[in-house]
Amino acid sequence: MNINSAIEFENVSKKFCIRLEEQMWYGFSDILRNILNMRKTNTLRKDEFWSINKVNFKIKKGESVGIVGLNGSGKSTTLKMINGIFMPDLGKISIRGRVGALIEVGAGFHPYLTGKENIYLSGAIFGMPKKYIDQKFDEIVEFSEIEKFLDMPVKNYSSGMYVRLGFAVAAHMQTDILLIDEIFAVGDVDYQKKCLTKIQELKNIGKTIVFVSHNEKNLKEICSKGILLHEGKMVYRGNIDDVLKKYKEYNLKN
Amino acid sequence: MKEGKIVVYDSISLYSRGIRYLIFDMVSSVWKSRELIYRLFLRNFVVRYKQSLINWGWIFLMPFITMLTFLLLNISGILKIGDLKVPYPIYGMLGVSLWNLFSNGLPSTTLSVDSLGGLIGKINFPKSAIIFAASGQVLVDFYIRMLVILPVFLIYMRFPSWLIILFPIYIMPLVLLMLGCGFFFAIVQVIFKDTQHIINLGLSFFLFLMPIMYDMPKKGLLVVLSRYNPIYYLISVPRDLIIFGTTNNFIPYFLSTLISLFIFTIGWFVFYLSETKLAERI
Repeated sequence: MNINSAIEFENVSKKFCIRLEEQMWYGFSDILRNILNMRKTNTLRKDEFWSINKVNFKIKKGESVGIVGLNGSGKSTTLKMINGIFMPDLGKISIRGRVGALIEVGAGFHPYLTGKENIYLSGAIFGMPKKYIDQKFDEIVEFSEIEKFLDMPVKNYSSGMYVRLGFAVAAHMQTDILLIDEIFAVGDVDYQKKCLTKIQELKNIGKTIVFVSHNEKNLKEICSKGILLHEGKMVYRGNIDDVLKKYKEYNLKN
Repeated sequence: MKEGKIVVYDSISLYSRGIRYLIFDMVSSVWKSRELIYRLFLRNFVVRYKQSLINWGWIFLMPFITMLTFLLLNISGILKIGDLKVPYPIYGMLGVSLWNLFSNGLPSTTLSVDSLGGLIGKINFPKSAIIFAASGQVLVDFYIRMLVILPVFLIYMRFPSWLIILFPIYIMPLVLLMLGCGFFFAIVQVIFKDTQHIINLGLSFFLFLMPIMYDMPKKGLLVVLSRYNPIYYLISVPRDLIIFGTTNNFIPYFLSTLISLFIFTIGWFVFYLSETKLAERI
């Protein structure tokens, strides 16, 4: 792996199944083959397709890269593979540093638990030790503006309070690489502004950022580079402005 | 993990990393996520009886009603409890409480991973933590029930054996057996949603197959079946130890413990190997 790289994809492919019925049996046989140490099926079975197809790229440390593409082009799958949630069927992914995902706002929150309890629960799911959460607790509360409601069950929170708290916990992960997937779609303008500022902050302290979005403005604000995916293939990579231009061409074609 | 540490994901089989590495990684990943296990356990625990009228009362009511059912079956002559050396409430409450360690633990571990599916597809964390957290619930239930059983002893002017203080140790084989099965069924449940129904059906049938709520009959098919049923020994021997302080079944209990250790290890390992495949199937 290159010394300057944070993320490297080498000929990475990932297949998915279209129909639920077959997916069930494929899942069963894949898990069985895995346990019995049998060879994987590298070809497509009936009703399968390549969700990611021989993708190659490198992302340098401290770079902020936007992943752009139409729906179903493999953006989220790519993020999940960087995160280690999905394993590649072919190829190799190398990651240097800790990865954190700002994908779900309020991950693991339980509506009946109080704001305080949920901070510790969600933090634990993100892999933060209790001591670390103790340290960051005031910062998280301040960002989410819920001081008065810390002991109230989050089901009684306004949706604004809920997403702010969720974002605040996730944004305090101890990570080197941050994956962000359409996190702004859920809140109002104020919230979006706050998130953007926080992400800029994280970027400025040198975190590598991979950002999936359809919002041109946000992409330009956060990212310098971009990757354009189309039907599971990487069709273009370069500066974010050029990538967005190409993306528009693809948008028109379809 | 420090900065600079490289993680590689590829399509090469996990086994190529060596069995020793895998076992070490399996155990250490759970050790590292002990905080998460505690938080997930707390989440289930705190939430379970919220918005419920009698709250924790359910923990006592469940075994009590089961015991009462068997008592009624006995009175009406449908089922023979047999000649016991102790009052039935002591015998029955202990039996059903121990059985519940298995029969409540298995469905909750089986469902635990599937019900957190949304989270698993989005955030990467050790999935085995979910299973361990789910088993915490039944253990706490059992400890609380033991506190209720003590007064029952006193009502009948009896004292449990001193070995009662060691019960957290000799119930462990039963818990490990439950966990081992739970690991296995949790994977299957993710793929085939029928699993939970099959387990619930099987469990209610299974209780009648073992002389847990009644005395061992003198002869018949049940005697033969129970002789080869490890769960029977893992329940009846702890009960004997609590009531009498001794048991006739030390050797079968020991063998059953070995079986449960074996199933636990295999179940955990199979789950560990399949963890990364689970997210794709949810």
